[in-house]
Amino acid sequence: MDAILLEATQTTPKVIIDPASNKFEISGESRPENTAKFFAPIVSWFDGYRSVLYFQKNNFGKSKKVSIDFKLEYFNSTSAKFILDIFYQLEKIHKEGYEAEIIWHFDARDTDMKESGEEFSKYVPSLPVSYNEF
Amino acid sequence: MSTEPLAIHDVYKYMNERRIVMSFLGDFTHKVVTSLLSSVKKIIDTTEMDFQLKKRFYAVVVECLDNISRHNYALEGERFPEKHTSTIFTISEFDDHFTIQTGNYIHNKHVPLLSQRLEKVNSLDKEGLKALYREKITESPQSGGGLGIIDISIRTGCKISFDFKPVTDDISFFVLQTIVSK
Repeated sequence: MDAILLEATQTTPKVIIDPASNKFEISGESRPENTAKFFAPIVSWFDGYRSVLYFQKNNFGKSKKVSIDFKLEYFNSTSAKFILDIFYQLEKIHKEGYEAEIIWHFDARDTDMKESGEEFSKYVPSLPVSYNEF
Repeated sequence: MSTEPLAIHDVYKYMNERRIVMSFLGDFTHKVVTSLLSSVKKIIDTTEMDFQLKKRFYAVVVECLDNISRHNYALEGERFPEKHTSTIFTISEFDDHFTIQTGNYIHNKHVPLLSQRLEKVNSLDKEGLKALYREKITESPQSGGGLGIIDISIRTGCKISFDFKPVTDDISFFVLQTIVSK
C-alpha cells in the first residue's frame, strides 16, 4: 500500500503512514477545515492494511507490528471523532490477531491531553495503549 | 456621507472599559479563524498563566469559533439579506479570567435544538458532561451533536451564557459567552 506522508499545516497535523519503514505517526495541531475529508483516507488506509497484514502472516509466518504514535498538541472536538475511529481501526487489527498498539504522547504539563488519550482507550479495552510524557 | 470622525474614539473607549483585548467583526471564513487564532496565541504567550490553563483557553477559543461556523445563517448557503452575514467575536481580559463572546445570525429553525442543547449542558455537572461527551462522540460526524459546547463546559467548568435576540421572522442574533479562569 502507498504511504500517506503529509507535512503539518497551521490547521492539520503531520501524518506519517509509511508501511515500508513501518512508521506511523500523527503529530501537531488538528482543526482541519473539512475534518472528514482530512481523516477519511487515514481511517480507510488502516482498514485496508489488514489484508496486507494477512498476506504477511500467511507468507512469512509473522506480520509487522503496527504501532501508531500520537503526538498531538491540540485537536478540536470534530477531530476527536476521527481520532477515535483510528483507535477502532487499530483495535480491529489487534482483534484479528495482528500485533498493534498506540503510543499516546503528551506534554508533561498537559494532563488534559493525557486524559484525552485515556478516554479514547476506554473504547478499545483490548488494544494496548501506552502513555509517554515529552 | 456620514461625518462622524470621532466615532472610532468612542468605540475605542467602550472596548477599553470592557477590557476587550481582541475583537473581530466581519465574515468568518476558515482563513479568518486561522489568522485570529495566531493572534490568540500571541495573547497567550504574553499572559502569565499556568501552561495547562493556556492550553484550555486556546481550546475553548477554537471551539467557540468553530461553533460560529457550525451555527451560522450566513454559512448555510441560503438566500439572506447581506446585512445578516456579519459575525462578531471578542476576548476580554480581567485579572483572574478571560471572557470570550461571539455573536452571529442564525436561522430561527435551529434555535429550539441549539437552545435545548445549551440548557442541557448547563444543567450537568462535570461527570454528567463527560458521560454526555462519551455518548455524543460515537454518533455520526454529520450530526455534530454539540460535542463542541460539551467540550467548552468540561474545560471551563463554567456555565455558558447565551441568548437569541429576534431580528426578523426568520433570523435571530445568537450570542454566546464563556469564561475561562486564568
